[in-house]
Amino acid sequence: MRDTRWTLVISGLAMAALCASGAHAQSVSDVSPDTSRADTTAWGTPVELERVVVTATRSQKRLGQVPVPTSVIDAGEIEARGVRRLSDLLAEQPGIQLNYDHGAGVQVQGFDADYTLILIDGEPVIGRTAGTLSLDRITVADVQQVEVVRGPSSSLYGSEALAGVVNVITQDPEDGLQGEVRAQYGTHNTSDASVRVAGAEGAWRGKAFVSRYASDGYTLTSSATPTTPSFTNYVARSTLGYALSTDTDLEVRGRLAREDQSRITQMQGNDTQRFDSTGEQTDWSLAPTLTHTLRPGTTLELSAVASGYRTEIRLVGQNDGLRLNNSRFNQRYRKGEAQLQTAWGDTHLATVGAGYIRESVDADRVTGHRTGGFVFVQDEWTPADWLDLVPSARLDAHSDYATRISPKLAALVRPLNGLRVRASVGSGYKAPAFRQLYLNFTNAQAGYSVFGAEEVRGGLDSLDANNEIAALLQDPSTLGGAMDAERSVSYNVGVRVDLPAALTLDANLYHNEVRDLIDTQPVARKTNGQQVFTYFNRGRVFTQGLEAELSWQPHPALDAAVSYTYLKAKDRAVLDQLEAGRIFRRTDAGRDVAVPVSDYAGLRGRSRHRATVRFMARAESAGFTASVRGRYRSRYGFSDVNGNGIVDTDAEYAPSHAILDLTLTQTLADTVDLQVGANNLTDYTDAQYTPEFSGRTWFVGLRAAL
Amino acid sequence: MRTITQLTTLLLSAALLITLSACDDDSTPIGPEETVELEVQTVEDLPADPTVTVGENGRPQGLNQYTFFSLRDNEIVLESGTEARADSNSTAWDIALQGTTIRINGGTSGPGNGAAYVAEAAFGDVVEVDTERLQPDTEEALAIPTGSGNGWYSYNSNGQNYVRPVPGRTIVVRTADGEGYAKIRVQSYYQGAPELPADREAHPSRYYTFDYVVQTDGSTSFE
Repeated sequence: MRDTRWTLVISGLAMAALCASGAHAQSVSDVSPDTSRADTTAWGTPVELERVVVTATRSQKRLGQVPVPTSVIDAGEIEARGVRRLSDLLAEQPGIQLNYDHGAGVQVQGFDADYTLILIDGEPVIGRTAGTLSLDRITVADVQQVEVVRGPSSSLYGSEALAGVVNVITQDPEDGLQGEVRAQYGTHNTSDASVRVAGAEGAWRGKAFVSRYASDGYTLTSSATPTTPSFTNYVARSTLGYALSTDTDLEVRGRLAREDQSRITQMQGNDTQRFDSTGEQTDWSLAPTLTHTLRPGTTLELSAVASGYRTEIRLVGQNDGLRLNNSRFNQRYRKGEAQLQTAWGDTHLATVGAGYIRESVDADRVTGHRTGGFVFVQDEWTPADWLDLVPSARLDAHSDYATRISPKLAALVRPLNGLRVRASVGSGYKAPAFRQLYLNFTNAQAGYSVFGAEEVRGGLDSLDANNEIAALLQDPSTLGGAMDAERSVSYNVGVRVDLPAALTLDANLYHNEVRDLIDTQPVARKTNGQQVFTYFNRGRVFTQGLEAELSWQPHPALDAAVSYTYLKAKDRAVLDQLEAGRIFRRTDAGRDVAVPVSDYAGLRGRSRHRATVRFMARAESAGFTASVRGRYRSRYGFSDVNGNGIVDTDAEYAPSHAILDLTLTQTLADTVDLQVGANNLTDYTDAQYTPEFSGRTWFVGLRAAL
Repeated sequence: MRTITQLTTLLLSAALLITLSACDDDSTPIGPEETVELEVQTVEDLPADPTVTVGENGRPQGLNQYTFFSLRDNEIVLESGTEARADSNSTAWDIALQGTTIRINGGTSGPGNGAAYVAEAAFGDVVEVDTERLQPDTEEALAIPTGSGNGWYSYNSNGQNYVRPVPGRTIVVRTADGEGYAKIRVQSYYQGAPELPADREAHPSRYYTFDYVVQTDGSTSFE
């Protein structure tokens, strides 16, 4: 059946290629009807608003016309900062907090990393560990721009786009031949080198990019186990494009990444034994896309993606050379999709799409696959000069969880020159993770069992057959029904206003109400006294806050901004319990007292306040650029110390901290840049709370272009 | 090495009888008009099948036996380390402890008329037994629920694998004779009752320290 569907997708692509007849030439960028108005306020920053973005509406749109909170970081800014990894780039962004849990992940609008969709050139990146897709894996060395959309985008992208979407857009080949070499070396023997060759000639265009990133890692404690292990990471990306005719274009993008890690680890047992731990990670993707202009203003895009993510970890004893443990994880993702975009009337741009997804995972404890189909529709409508309305909706039908419909309505109002008001209401969702559906795990030490929703009935049956079930806590026939996706309803209201003296204020208020969060609950008691757990939809949380940025660009060569975010993220069930006076803490005097609602810190890892500053100045004649970035986060809930399950006392917080980064770039000739930089200038470290900061690091870099 | 230390600890603790201190009630009870006759008794380091061997993968193992305790007499009826299990089938004990599991002498766990529930209230605030909530142990569920966050303890809520009593959880027990009532507040699950048992060797698990009040006159009031 799987083969049949693939044959369909491939023949669809082939047929579309055949139908490509000689209609009018129309480049993709001309498709959007020009409904924007010249942005020529006295002090505004038209350059930024004119920048074309694609993530928020899946169509090319000027930033000034996008009705949802969107920010863009372009190649020039990336180069001026000297950052090489997506994690380092986003760490400095307003409205984004990096959290480190099984890798560097983004926290957007107070959501954990699982709730933000990560795209490269519009296609999803797979391979999450405990929900985090480590952004260290993604290089930004050949990137054109990185777009960040905050707020739910499930109405266009489906699962995972609940908190937001990060889209890494790589540089397209340009006419002629381009070549670029970059190299960077710094503290901890960290090196990053890349080569990019690209070009276009006649109907052909192509790009090849290779990067190598390696580090010795570092150790903050006296332990033999390093805080961060040594690793070597390779990324290759390539594009091959061919214009079949003036209105038909075929492009194939490929991506391959591999990372090797090694470290020493200790295990406590009868004796402390040391192991050599080695890990391998491979991540690949192949994506052909066929774009065909049916008539001016109407484009059909057929695309397919095949991607895979595989990890393997081996533990080998240092004394006896015996292999103790092997763990592996193998994930596959396939998607075929068709998208039609058409301008109708003078004021509408409609996008409709449909597709099919097949995902599978094969790992030690989790094995399964699921399939799904989706349809989405969007209308970008400009009913009046001063108003844009963008309704959209997507339907996702899945084999293993309930069907989701995700609608969204966004509006942009421009009542005056230099004033834009955005408002949107939408629904986001996140599909149950593989483990929540397919886990089949019995803890050998403690003896409890956990089953995914699809496995629980079979798991209980087999335990029962072995006489391991003492009692059922729930009727098994009520278990294992279609699980719901975690879902949200979100509101965003924002304003962008041009102020005197080249100042611009962009502010956004948001509220996300999330239901059906997936959590474990016991369903049976085993004869060994332990329990059997499975997953249920039951949690309810909300996040709300303010994101504000004040930027100042008096001159194209001078750019400065300060940002502030305020965040509240709380569990509704905990709030109910607190209000009922059912959560206590023990005082020093040994008395138990009910915790006041106001002492509840909310979800862990969320700072109430966060601020960033950035300053970049370029002395054009001297060829010199300086970039300084700073970020601060207030204290955040870290762990429960007093046993009541929530963060409510000072000892349960991680301390606030601030990080300052500096980069200086000198252009020697037109095509050669030298760079020096220092990250974490104040040498902030805290092994307990923030092992991700190794202290002050230095680097030198070189960039040479053909 | 670790095993030897733990064995030594076990032998030492087995040699010592548990400290059963019946202290004077010097903690002023809650409420201004309070008159107190019942005293708070504290049991320290009651072994509940502590680790005797470390199995494969470093898994701690006890003898898989319960320690039977009489709340009425404030004494151990049968320790988990004792081989003869004769007294377990009697009404001499009120609660039986093994690891984090606490059974009561009633229903499927014992011949007595015991029952229990876990009140979501501070120890001092539990002044009256809610007899409606009293349950015997059954096949389906124990009166004192097991599992992190379900009954008296939480496990690993800060990622350090500690078992800690949940503040504001008071175990209310009907004694095995069906006539008395007790309320229990667990203070610690680790020997020596440290605030946080960072040093596992100095503070092995499966040692209960708890406060309790027992009312033996048939009244359902702890005042």
